[in-house]
Amino acid sequence: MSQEKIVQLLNDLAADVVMLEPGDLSSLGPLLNSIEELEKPDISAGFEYLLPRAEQLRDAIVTIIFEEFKEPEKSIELLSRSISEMQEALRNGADSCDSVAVEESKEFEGSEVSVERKTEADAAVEEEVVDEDQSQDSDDELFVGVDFSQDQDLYQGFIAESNEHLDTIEENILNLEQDPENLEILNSIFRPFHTVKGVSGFMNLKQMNVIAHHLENLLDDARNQKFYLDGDATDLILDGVDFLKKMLEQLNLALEGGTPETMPVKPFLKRVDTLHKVLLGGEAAVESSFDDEIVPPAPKIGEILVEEGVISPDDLEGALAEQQVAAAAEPEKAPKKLGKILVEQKKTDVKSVARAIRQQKQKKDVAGGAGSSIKVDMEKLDNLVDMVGELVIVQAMIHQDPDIAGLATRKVTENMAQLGRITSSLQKVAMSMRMVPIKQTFGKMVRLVRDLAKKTEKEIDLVMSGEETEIDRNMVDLIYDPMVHMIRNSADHGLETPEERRASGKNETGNITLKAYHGGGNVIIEIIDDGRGLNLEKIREKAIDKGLLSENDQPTDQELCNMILAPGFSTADRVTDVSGRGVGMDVVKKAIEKLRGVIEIDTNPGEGSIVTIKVPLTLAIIDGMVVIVGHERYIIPTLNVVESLRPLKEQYHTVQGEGELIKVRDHLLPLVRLHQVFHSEAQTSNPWEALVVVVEHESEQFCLLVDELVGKQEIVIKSLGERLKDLPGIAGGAIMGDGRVGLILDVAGLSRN
Amino acid sequence: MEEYDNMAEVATASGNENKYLSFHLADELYGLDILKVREIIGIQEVTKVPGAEEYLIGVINLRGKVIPVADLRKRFVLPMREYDARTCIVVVEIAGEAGPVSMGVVVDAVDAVVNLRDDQIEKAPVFSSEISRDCIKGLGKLEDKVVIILNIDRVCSADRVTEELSDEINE
Repeated sequence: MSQEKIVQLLNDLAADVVMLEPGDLSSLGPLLNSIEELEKPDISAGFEYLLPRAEQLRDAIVTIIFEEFKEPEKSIELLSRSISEMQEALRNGADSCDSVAVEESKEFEGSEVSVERKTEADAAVEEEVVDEDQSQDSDDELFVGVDFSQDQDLYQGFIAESNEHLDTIEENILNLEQDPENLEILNSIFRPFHTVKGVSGFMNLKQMNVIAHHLENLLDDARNQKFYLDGDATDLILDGVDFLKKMLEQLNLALEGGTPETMPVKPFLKRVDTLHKVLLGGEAAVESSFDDEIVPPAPKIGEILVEEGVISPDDLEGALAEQQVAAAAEPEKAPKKLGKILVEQKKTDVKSVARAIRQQKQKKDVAGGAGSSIKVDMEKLDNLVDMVGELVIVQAMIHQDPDIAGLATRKVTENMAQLGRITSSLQKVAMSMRMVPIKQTFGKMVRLVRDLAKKTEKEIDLVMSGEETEIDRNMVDLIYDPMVHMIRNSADHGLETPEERRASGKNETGNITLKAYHGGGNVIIEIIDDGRGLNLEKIREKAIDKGLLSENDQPTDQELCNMILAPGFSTADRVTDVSGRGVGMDVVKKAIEKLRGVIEIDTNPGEGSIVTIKVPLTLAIIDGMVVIVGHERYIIPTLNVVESLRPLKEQYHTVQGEGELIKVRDHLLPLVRLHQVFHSEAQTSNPWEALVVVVEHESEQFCLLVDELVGKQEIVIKSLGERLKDLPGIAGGAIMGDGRVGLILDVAGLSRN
Repeated sequence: MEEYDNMAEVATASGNENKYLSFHLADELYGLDILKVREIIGIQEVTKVPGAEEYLIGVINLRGKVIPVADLRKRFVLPMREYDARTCIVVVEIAGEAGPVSMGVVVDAVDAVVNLRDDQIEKAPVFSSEISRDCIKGLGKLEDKVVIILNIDRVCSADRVTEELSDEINE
């Protein structure tokens, strides 16, 4: 490459250094990029004498990053001096002597033990130093010298991103356990660690950086096939993930102004180092078994070049032939690279090959798991959904406009129909964007079951199906806890120990099956185990004991099963032998009901049990019954509606002239006049001339007096904003077909009234 | 002549000039910081929300978002009148608990956008117990009229400090 390019790069570097401000770590990134650019073989060709300096410069910058500008002025000065020396050297040619700045930078690095050094240092030799050094800041405070008042967003983004990375690691670690030789999986664990390490270093989060770095080193050696990662190692890495997650929590706490707890960083690092050493000790024994290495599949350089049109297929074949000839002639030598042969044959230039190599790398990365998706702000997505909803309404208004209908030529009709189709598919797309596969949630369960199996000393196989089933993004987090609870129950109470299983003629390994599928506008999740099942007799006794059942009742098995979901049932004396977690099943039931879902339990004694969780696809849409009271429309969630009827005059009763009751099917239900609750006017005041809707909340029924029933409708729930929240009897708003707002009734709130 | 120019310069330098949206409300001219105004829409049917504060007359659909609407006549306890063709809803952005929120404000009619320098705005004396002082930012003097500049964040704010204050004064 030309001297001009290098001169320009150096000038850029010099300018960047001048702009550098003490404490501003993020601007060091571009500097590193420029140096990397400079070090590229196609750029530095002919100017190799600059390379050692560039490397030293980079080391210096890395040191600065990790030392967080202890002596900012001095370091910046040093940087600018070494850059100007490089410029000088460029002008004078290769013969200029060793620079002063480089010498100094060595000194500078040596004078303080850099974190980079510390972590890479041979633990055995420097353990003393490391210990001493870290005991000063590791255990005390997590985020020394981090200014949270600045770049809040940056840290928030970091937390979200790192958590994602850590989740990926978790998932892949578990895959690795199944297939410890798979380099691709190993890579997919290594890469996120690498990213977390890099970013945390940049963000000045030293402790996180050190931990990630140590684990990365461990993985790197595994990647280089120095050893296998055995069960202990994967446990350790999982612990590391937990540790980092905890640190992120603390970071979040600190961001919100709280005081982060201290965390035992040092002992953990010691664990990593010890294990690392043990693993390295067994190196020789393991290495031989790696003869058949697995190479991750990636497109070949030649194919990429042909695809790009740089070379013709014939060129490629010629080069490949030569490569084979050369390999046959000198079998002991490493095969010549195809790119090199092509360049030698003058079929292409170095630059194209470099670009192809870059592409190859990228494709490898994509193949490694990073799908082609982008992250979008939830708010933007919600806005889109809002706007599309409006579009549908306006489209309907135009469609029904009498003026338009008046000039309905064939063309207008056709175009209107087309518009309708497009808007409705647009709406579908917009809604589907909020949906994510349930895979993410299922993935977390793998870890859970693994831990449970270890803890309970059982052997458990987790089988999953329907991971691609889509569910609302907001639902994913809410469904997690109930699922965890139920799976814990299955593993803890449901599945037997291997001995018990053998005794009852079952396979020693217990099975838990997770299933997800769509059905009737719902997502249905099934948690199936092949354990001992529920002890119906015990449940029956207990139910009678608790007064939920009388001696004479003959409930079906399923009714009995679902008794354990009743409040106060499971918290006290346990139905099963192993103790629980202190949270009753009624909490699970409540959580599911909050999502407007249903949970059911079924069992086959001796063969296992099935927990079925049914939740709506999305929280944003509900089925509602639209009613009119006076001039206003209200929506009653269909879930709460039992029936609607026009009572006869004889069904209407009053108590002491005040309390109003309607007798529905031998039950006297209180009557709530909506217009009275809401201080509005009703069209009719006599129940026998109007309508009543029987609604139910927590098995308590009452009647709502309304003027008219409009019909059933799917509606999108909108918040009324912070000024109008927590109003008695109102759960939210919805935009109706005519563009006006209708109010959604909160039956629970009305029942308290 | 020269002297005059200088004076003009001094006048401009003595205060920042800001733009205000002026509107009519019961024979008086009010104004609010134009930066707070998102848009102006015609009056439309408002869905009443039971249980809300008196002056919050309900909610409307603003392009898919549900926003509350306040009637300024009700807010300032002015005599009510029928809405007509000139009645408008000014959509303002006010400070909420979690960032800015949109809110509609019903006014009799929108007047104009006026420029006022800081030195043209005087501190408001307490005239009325209904509109306590912190709802009024100041009185803007135009050539022939006075604009009552509102602190719209306070006017629409949820707390009832202002009402308590007026109660105290009434007592």
